[in-house]
Amino acid sequence: MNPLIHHAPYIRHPESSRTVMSDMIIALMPLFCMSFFYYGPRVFLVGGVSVLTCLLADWMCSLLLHQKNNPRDLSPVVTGLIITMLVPPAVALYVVVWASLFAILVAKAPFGGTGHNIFNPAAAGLAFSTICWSGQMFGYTSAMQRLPMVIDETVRFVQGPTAALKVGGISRIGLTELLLGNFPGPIGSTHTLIIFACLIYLVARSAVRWYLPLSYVAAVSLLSACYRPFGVTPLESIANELFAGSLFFVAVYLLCDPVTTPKYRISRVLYGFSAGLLTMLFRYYSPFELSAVFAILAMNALAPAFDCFCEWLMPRLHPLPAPAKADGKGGARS
Amino acid sequence: MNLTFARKYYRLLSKTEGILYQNPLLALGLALPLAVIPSFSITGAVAISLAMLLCFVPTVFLASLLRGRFSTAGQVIVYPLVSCLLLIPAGKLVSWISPLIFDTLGVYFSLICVNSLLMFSVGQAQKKTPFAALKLALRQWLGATLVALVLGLIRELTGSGSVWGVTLLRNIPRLPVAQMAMGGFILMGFFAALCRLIHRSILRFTIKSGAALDAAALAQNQENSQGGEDR
Repeated sequence: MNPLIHHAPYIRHPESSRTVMSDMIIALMPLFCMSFFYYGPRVFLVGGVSVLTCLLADWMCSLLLHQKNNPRDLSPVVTGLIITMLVPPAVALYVVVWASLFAILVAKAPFGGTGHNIFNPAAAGLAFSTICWSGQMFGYTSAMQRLPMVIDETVRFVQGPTAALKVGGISRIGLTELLLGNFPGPIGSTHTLIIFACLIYLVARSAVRWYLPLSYVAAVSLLSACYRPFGVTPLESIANELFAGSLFFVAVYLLCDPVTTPKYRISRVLYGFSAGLLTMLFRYYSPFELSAVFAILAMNALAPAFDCFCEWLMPRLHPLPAPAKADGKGGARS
Repeated sequence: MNLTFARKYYRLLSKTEGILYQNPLLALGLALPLAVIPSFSITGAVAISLAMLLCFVPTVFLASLLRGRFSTAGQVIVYPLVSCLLLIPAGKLVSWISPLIFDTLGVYFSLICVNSLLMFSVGQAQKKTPFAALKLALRQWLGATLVALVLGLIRELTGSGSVWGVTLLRNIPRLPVAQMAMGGFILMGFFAALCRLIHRSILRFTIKSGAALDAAALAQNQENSQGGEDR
């Protein structure tokens, strides 16, 4: 008899919240380096402000709730980094601070903190900033322009390609440029090739399930091929819709948040597909270019409904075999 | 455990019932849209408070005078109708404060007539004497007004940097969401959480003070007993 008493949990897995968040941070670092190459050291300032604000807000919430601050919890760092990646490089720092504060103080802490939030905190923070300061959130700068730490009159603001897509047009950017992210856009969400490499890493590390971004991309591709601008081939339209903004980044980093996605595989596929459809609907009919974060927030609210639907559907698709009836003569037949 | 201070605190708090303690908006969550949406500025908050004073308080008083005359279903019809009639002079008064506010927030002013706070207070008034019902209505109105004014002040200051139209904050980034309904509800949630935090902190402090009092009394007793033994 083993006299040792083991406490729960009895089932252990090498994946934990910390490993998933560490993988996310590792997968965000190449984007940071590429952004530094494109826009200069200001991206580190924006990133530092965002991450520090998230950490401070998280610490403050722990203090207010009389909880012990968990230094192993890396989720505020991931939230801060994702916010950084989706804001323009010349954004005013107060916009980033407010987005980070909203993410932690409104979208995360009141729902119970890490692992209990209904909405993705980074998406909520970005949606808040987009509603409040849409001019700041869509004022992009040209790539390869080294930005000063303090934005002054010398910095020229331009429109991103998503502005043309929003009004039903298309910006003639080459495929190479689209893949490298060499066009005006958010800090780190336009580097498609690097995001794709990071997606492979995340899938290999089981931090992201491959079918979730795939279903999202499939829905976006379907709609963009059907409703393409006049004189544009379907493939060109798909490439522009997917890679000319922050849509692919959102598909990899925001949609696959393990906390806010449904539990089952089928419900996840449906969730991703619906999020893709909603993103395109918001892009066509909403006043903002950054439609993906609003679609993600709307789908976050519906995530439990997808699980319920799956629980209702699965027994109907795969009914359990009926139990063998007793023949009444005693004993089961061999 | 010595609860002397905690009891004193609760006794003090119960004197502000309806205003600070058991506030209809913060603690009971009644009539939230009525208080949150018009309080985008302090002008809006004052206007809605005055309109409430003219519609809500007399209706609750009337409900206590006519208590037992109507069934519950009848109350739901009669008292909102009375409140609707009182909204006509209230509208005139509000347009005197700000000519456009009644037209801008027309539907929200009409919420004064049919809302959860009115029905709750009418239900409470059925069990009270007219004087007690009047006191209850005034307390509920004061509690709602206090919250609406604080919200209006913060929202106007953060949203446009001004108070009652007078610009106070210049060169400070504005927070446009503060003047939207979304911002109002978020602020309301934080306000309720802050009030709860302050209440719990005071309660914890009173319990700690009581414990300190106990410890001091115990030490005094021990000293006394030791002194007696030495003698």
